[in-house]
Amino acid sequence: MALNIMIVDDSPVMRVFLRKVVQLTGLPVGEFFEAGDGEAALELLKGNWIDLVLTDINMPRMNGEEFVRELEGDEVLRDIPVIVVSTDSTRERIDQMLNLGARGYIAKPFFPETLRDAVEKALGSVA
Amino acid sequence: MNAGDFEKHFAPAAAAVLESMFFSETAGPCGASHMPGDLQARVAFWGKVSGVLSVRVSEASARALAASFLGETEESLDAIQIGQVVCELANMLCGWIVSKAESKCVWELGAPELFSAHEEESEGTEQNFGIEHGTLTLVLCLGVIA
Amino acid sequence: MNELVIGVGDGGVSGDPEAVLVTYALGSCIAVMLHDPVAHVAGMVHYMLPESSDCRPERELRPCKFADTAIPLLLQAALAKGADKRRLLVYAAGGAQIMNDNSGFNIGKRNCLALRKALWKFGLIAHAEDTGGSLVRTVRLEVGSGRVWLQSPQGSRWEMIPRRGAAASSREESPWR
Repeated sequence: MALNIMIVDDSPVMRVFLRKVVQLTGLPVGEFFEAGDGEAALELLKGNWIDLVLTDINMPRMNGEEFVRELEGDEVLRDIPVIVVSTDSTRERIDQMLNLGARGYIAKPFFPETLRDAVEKALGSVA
Repeated sequence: MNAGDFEKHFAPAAAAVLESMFFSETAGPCGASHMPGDLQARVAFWGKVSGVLSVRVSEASARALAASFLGETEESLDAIQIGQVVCELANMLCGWIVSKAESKCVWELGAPELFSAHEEESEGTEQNFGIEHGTLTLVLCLGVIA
Repeated sequence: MNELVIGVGDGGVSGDPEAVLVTYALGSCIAVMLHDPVAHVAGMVHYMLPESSDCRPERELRPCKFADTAIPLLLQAALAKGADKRRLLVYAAGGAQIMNDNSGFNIGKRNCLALRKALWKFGLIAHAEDTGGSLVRTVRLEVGSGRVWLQSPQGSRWEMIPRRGAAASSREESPWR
């Protein structure tokens, strides 16, 4: 079954990078949905089935922390696995996002295989 | 906290960012080598200490880095893509440095932005590293918000 | 078993399930290996240097000598032999820092960076790596089973195990769909 992946990052080239890593997992990807901030991501989630979200934290309008809080507050959306991909590698931030419900946290910069492994683990855990 | 608390992280940040996502390396510290066509990006940060980190690379270096990052040939890239990659480079370098320097604080990064070499440059702490086709320059200005 | 020796700056592919691809004495050089477990196609290349751009004549004559020409050539050869890119498992070994490398260029590390750059460019990602350090490695790839074995000069032997998440092997209905 094809998997729909959402990528939330205000950098267009970072979204390209993340998309490429997901494609290299070999998982059956259906569609990619992309948003430049949390607000746009929430709008897309209203009308589309998403199997995995990769989100940055530092974004305009609605940042990643607020976005993940919104997901956790929704009965349906809270079950979507979220992996945070952010430049913030402080222990405090990592713990905060994991406590908010993120399934994984990848600090930028990262090796593509590290994200590949996290994506496979997040999707494998709900199979 | 002062500039030195940030500056000591410049070299490891450059190495970590370039090696992992740009598949590239620095040749170590070197002298400044600035040219008119260089690309520059800056990122503001707010935490216990606030400031701006700016990054400067030659057009040839930027093109090579962008090609590596995107997995494309240099000839296929346009100026917009290259500029966006330089912004993301600045974003990751700033995030890495601030994460280390302000590891016990809550902080935020602003959106990276390209800026012109004609704009007045603030004085700050500068380091230069040799990279493919030129130099990577990092300049940190504390207490200044772009 | 039919042993196919891959020399320094050389490469080869095989669809013979009885074959074993082997390359010896990987110092700063890197062996890149591809295996399609369904088509039973395997390939190996043993490259020496990261970039071919400064060596135009040699890049034409000996493309397997350089990472940026060896890896796409290996991929092309494996696909021509019947491999499917989506099924390929990718292994890499070597890239050591050799004690008598006084050049200051650390060819082993540069070869490791060139490996990652080329894999990324050509849409591949390593499933197992045994690179860096100072060990000189010999590596064997069994075409039939896809198993990859490393050996040190002292004789110790170990297997490279590919990283494959559960999600990559079988799919079941997600509970909320």
